[in-house]
Amino acid sequence: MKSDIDIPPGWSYNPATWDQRAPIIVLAVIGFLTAGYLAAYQFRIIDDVWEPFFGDGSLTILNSPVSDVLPVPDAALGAFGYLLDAVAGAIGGKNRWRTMPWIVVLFGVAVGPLGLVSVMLVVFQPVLFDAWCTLCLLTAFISVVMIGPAMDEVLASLQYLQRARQSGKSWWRAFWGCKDVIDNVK
Amino acid sequence: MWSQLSMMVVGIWVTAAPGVFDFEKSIATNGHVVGPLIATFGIVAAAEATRNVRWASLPFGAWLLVAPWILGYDNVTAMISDLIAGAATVLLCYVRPRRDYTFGGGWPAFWKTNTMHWRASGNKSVQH
Repeated sequence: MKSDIDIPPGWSYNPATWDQRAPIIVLAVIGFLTAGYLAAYQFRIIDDVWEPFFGDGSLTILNSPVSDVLPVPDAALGAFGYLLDAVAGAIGGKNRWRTMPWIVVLFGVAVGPLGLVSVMLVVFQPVLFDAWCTLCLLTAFISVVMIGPAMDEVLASLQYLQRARQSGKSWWRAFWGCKDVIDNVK
Repeated sequence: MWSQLSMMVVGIWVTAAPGVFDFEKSIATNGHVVGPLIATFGIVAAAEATRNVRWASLPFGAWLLVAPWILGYDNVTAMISDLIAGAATVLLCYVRPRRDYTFGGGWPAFWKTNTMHWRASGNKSVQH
């Protein structure tokens, strides 16, 4: 086992290095741009969307009753989700799993549910509206691809909180990265 | 990783087959619900830290093996497609994954004591 302080104990690598996080951030930015483009159509800033395979499927999906169930069009919410993923993925250094567990957990909470909501919307496309939307499928794919690579960092942070608690420290103070815990819990 | 990505391909196939072969609505809906789920679990399980998520596909693979009779398919193509996809999904769950990395005991650490990450951080006995 390497003695590098940034590698979580019992791990063979550090899940918070930039090599680990950069691909997720890039995916989130692509998702943000794609969802932003779809939202621009839903806000009628643009008149049409690119749809190479499914005829007017994209327009059917983007104008569906499900898309405006909430006060904001669903693609705009998606764009916000991807932006949150990118920002939460970018904040903090390569030891953030122990110095800033709160941002890692926020990152996990942003990535996980976004992916699950995307899958639900994928199911809705053919089942409720008999249509497919290519770029909607692309954004859903991106959001699901991000889940696995993001979760290892969450695991490292949660194990750190567990060690803090088992050491008799406050896991709550560990969660917010308080110095007394960081200095005393490996 | 390859068996999980194969699971993704199976899920995408189950999702696409109704459109490819023009299945009737009830059969198509089954594929349109089950396919994206299997594909999703395969993609998430492709990452080693979440490899066990592949087991979430097991009930859906098993469902595809019985769905033709429970839903009463009268479409041979749909039956063959779902049986092959279901069998592949179940088998892919059981493929023994290669372990390249260690994760301090992984997710089971939360319901176990004396975990790998606890010992590796220099602690000898378990305290609560």
